[in-house]
Amino acid sequence: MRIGTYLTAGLIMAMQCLTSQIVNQTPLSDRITGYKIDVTLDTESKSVKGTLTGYWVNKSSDVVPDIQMHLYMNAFRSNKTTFYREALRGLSSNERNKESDYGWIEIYSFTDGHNRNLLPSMNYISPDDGNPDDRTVIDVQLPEPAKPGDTVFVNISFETKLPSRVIRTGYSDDFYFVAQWFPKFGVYEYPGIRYADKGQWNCHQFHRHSEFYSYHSVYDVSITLPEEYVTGSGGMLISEEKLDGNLKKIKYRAEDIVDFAWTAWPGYAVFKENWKHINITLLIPRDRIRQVERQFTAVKNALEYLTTNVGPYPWPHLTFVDPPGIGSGAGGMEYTTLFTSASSFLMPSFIHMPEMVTVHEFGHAYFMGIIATNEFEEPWLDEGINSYWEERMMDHFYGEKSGMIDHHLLKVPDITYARLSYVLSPNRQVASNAEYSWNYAHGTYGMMSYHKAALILHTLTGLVGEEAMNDIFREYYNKWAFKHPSAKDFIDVVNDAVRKIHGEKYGQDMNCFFEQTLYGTGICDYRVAGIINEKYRKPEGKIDSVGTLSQEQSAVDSLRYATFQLERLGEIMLPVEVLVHFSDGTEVLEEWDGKNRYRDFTYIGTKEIEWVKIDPEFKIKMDVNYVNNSMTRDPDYTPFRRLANKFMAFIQFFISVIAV
Amino acid sequence: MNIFNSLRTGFLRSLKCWKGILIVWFSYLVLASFLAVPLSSTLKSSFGQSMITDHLRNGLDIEVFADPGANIRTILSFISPGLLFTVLIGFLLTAFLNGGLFHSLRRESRKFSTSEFFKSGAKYFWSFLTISILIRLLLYLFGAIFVGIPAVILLQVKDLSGNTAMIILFITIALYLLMLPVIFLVADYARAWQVTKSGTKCIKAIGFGFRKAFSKFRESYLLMALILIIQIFFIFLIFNVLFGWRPQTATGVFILFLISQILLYIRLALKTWRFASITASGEPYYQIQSDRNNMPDIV
Repeated sequence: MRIGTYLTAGLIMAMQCLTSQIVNQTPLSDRITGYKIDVTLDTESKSVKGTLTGYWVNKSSDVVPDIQMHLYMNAFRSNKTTFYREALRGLSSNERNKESDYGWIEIYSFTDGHNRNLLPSMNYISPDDGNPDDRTVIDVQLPEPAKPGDTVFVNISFETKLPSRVIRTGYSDDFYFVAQWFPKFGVYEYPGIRYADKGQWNCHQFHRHSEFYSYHSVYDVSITLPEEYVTGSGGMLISEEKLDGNLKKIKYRAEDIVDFAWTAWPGYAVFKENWKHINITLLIPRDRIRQVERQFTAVKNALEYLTTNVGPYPWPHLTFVDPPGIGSGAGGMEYTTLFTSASSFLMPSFIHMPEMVTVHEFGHAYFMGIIATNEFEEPWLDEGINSYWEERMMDHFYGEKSGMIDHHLLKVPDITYARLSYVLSPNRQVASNAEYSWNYAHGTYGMMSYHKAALILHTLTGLVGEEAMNDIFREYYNKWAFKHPSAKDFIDVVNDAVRKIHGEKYGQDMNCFFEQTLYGTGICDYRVAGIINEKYRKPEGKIDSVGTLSQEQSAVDSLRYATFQLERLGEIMLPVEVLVHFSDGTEVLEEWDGKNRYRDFTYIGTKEIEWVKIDPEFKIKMDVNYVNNSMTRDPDYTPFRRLANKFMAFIQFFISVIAV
Repeated sequence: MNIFNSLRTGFLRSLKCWKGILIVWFSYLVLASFLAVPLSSTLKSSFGQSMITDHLRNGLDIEVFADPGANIRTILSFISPGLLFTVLIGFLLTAFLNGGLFHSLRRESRKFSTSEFFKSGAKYFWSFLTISILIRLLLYLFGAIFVGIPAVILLQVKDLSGNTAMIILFITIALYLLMLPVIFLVADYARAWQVTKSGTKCIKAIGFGFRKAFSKFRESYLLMALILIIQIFFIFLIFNVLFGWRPQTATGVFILFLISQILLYIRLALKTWRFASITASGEPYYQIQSDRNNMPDIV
């Protein structure tokens, strides 16, 4: 009993440490969970071993009999886990049979705040697919159910063995990227949070194509490792202490972030810069020092743009890592105040891939970091939204036509890359964005969650305007920062903002737009079907109207019927603008609600239609075929002739070279 | 013969063969147009009356070509085998035409004769084709030895920094480039000797090429290196024109066509100058008895 009292007191003190302020001036979130972790990196056995003291506060009005936690690292335990089963489907039989040094996490002891052993009541569950070989989720029955307002403490001693194949986490030689490495509470959802109509744990298994969902937490992490290792993490460095045996102990603290990851490698060079009050640290291999400036420029651009158009970045620190080639599997991932980029020492400056990755991964600090959506169930809410912002930022800072590639021979905007990923996908109608991340069929997870979702938002921008979109996201940030919104919550914000700015121009709300684009599988394709210019026919036959023949005659000869025909080929109905150019040089901008299958516009006058363009400013990014959006009576084939000429000259030149 | 004499002699002989160069240029033009003309027609029919081609005014726009979807896939599936076939035919054609050129560039040749040009092309076709294939294989072999193998080894070394790897690769590529003139010398000497010594096996010709290249190595190497450098500068000019110039009107495109063809003709003339200079620098070769009696003035 006395031991239990001391333990409880100790845990309360630990909780107070976890809830105190070191990094931020005031708490940014409700801090429903907290973790105090003390581990040692064993570079011989490639494992991380230590203890975790954590807590979960029952904020619901339910009496909760259990807790559920993620043990993500068990996804790499064997080739029978859900992760590997889903990953191996895409591999050849040779690759499937390749030996790999697997990874896992083992819990050696598990007690509660009163030192009661919880191991006997710990069970592995597979809520998504019932796979008995998957141990990435545990359910622990509590000795006493947690009443509303109760705090559940846990003490866990664990060991995490890192896998050798770095898929987000793992080791390669002396490079370590340690992510998803500790037992982590799931999220207890109750009515008022997302779609919950009753209280239950939302704790999914680790799938090949899934990411994560967790509370904003406080982390106090101590890591003991050999002193030659350079480390970086999502926390602020509190202390670094030299120990005996060429070891050192590093303490980090992170507040109000959804995940804690860290990296260690002797080969990192460390660079630091500032953006306003934010200390930015970059860890990069020494042979890539030439990439440092472009990396810092990219992250500062992103900070500036998102601060201006969405909301402030609330932490005083940011670390990002450009992993070496041996750890490239850790690249392109986000952990709020830590993210990983990707580059190579050969990367030419006209290819903006490193900047794109940096801007994208930093953007996740907002979309899934600050606004902590459920990446398992609604991946587009972070990936799609973040891709949308990444494309805006890249094309803003690196050229509207050259955000991705900027070479005098070839310029490619970032948004084009996204659009083509969707337009050229043969499976773009296989699924809607309503799917859980692991249920996207035929390899469409990436295209749907990132590119199609981003195009939907670009199309919305085309309809309502960029300033309106900025207002939408500012409102979304203000309302949902450090909370867990759902897609419905986002759409509600859109509806409110659009109504405020545009009234009922788009109807009562934008639900119809999202139902078609986000939750539908149809495509958007409008086309100009034809242009007809014909002379006005003189009246013939039995005409009963009265008028002088000569007046009619002179009026009729110069008159024309000028008609253009539009068709909707796709299932998605969106209002479109249509620009018509006449033979006398005048132009008219028409509007069509895009609902019927076709619409004809006819003009009676003396002028003929020369050309017609649907969506002349290319606002409808979801339109899968821009070629049929315009028609002219006098097409200009000069570019093709030029291309054919150059092609011919190139072949002639090539033949003259190939033959010695 | 010293370098400048060889260059001068080669220049004059290649001038004499301007008709032969014209035949080569025209053959390449016809061959390339088998791909280029259908390409132009196919693009026109794929895009119809669309105005999206406005986006191509200032250069390549990937989105323009991606949107037609299946049509573009059809175009690409026709171009890739077509290109391969064209290059193959071009390789064979060049072996034939080079036979005529080398024959016309000999010291013994007087005025350029079109019938002699084609006769010689047919006569030496197989040996020139074999020489071309063997030389090309030599190029690939030395490429693999000088560049490929070091690159593979560098990829396996784990602790090597990127910068060090790049430096090593640059050195190996530089060595390979320095070795190229030797291969070209062998090829040119072999072919020059082949046309003066009827009925000889081409392997012997290549053997001769090696002997000749190394017998007066410094002079031959410098001569070839100089010509290759001039050719490289000219190639840069061609590429700048081809890729950098984007005429917006039909007249401009026609002028682009004319200028690009003139440049290609000059490129072929430079190559012929190389053949002629190397041929002149290696003379005299073994001569056929009948020629000795009717030897013309040395050009």
